Amino acid sequence: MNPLAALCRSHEFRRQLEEGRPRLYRIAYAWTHNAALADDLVQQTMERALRKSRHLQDLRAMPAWLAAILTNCWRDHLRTQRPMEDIADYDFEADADPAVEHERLDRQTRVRRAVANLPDAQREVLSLVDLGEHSYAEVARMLHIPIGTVMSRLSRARAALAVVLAGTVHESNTVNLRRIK
Amino acid sequence: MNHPQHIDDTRLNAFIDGALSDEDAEQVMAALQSDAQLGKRLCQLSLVREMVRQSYREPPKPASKPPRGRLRHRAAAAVLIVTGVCAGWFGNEALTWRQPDTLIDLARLIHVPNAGRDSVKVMLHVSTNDEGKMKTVLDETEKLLGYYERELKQINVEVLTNGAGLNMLRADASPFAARIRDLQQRYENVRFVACKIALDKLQKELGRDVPLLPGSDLTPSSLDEIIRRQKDGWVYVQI
Repeated sequence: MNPLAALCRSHEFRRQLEEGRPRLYRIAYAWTHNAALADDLVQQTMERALRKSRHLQDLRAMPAWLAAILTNCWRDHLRTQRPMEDIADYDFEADADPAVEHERLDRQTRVRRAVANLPDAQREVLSLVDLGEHSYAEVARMLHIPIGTVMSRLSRARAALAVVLAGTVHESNTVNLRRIK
Repeated sequence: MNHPQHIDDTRLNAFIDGALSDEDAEQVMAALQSDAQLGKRLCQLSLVREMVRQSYREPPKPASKPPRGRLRHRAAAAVLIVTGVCAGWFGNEALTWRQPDTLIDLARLIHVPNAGRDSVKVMLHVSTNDEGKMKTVLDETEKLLGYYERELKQINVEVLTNGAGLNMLRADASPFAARIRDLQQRYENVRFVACKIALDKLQKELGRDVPLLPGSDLTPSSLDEIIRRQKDGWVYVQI
């Protein structure tokens, strides 16, 4: 690689790294439901990614590569910290914004609660697919599990959410009947 | 064969996530045409997916910390030097995007469970600021409207935009203003709808009013709109 190309790659690497931050944060938040912890995990991920930037051959593979690093950071955290946590520490509420409809916040809270109550393995796969927008194959590689396992965990997660959220859907409809045209 | 093979949740999910081969996706679509229960389940599962996405679109931010100067600072220095070169090299990558042929085809094929007649109602949902996707939505909308007009069948199409997809309906930013006006003038059965939550958020960010294209409708919440439409038997297609 000539110097200009190397410099260019380095710039593009950093640009994509910053661009990847919101997505990583969403995934980390869905795993932890704790803003401070999610932020730490993302920061660790960014730092590890910078240190290992030479390991990434193809920049197009960056989103999956970052998610894999995030997964490792999360696993490391679980190994060392798990017993300290309590579901009471989870912060489900969004930033207070009076302009946002009450109903939406309420539903959002219920969805997040339902996601938080999924078994870890299912929540991990669900977040990577739905929030990370990674393919089944990418997730299988990240988690070192067969693709069939990705699919079955995702299915169980969505089926469980469909049951829990059935009431939410119903109530939303009631709200909508009052909608002013 | 009159006995379409059983399609389980796993396959439906793979279908929703665009993970099936064309052949497998066609099998699912064929099954959907004759199996109202399956259509209902498809709606439920895709709704769960949409609810999860929306519920984490804006996770709460951590309490403020000192800015992360190191990463930003170094990145900024590099930007000054090579931006021009990179724009040319990497510009094209934004254009690669997998066409969701199967989902659009689904909208064309599916017979809505509770309608059962000749009336078809389709909602196309745009949530990203991706011109390729927006163009596909407009192309498909035009095809659908034209096809049903020629066949003298009824169809209603609603194009719903939220998040960054709102750009499609911004009078000050839409790359497709003329095209949308043309569709609105030619067809009465198409609506273009913007999400008020997304609009409010954008206006707050920009600190000014953002005008929408004339004839656009505003819905208080895009997710509520999706849920309501699905319940009314609309086919929901996320682009």
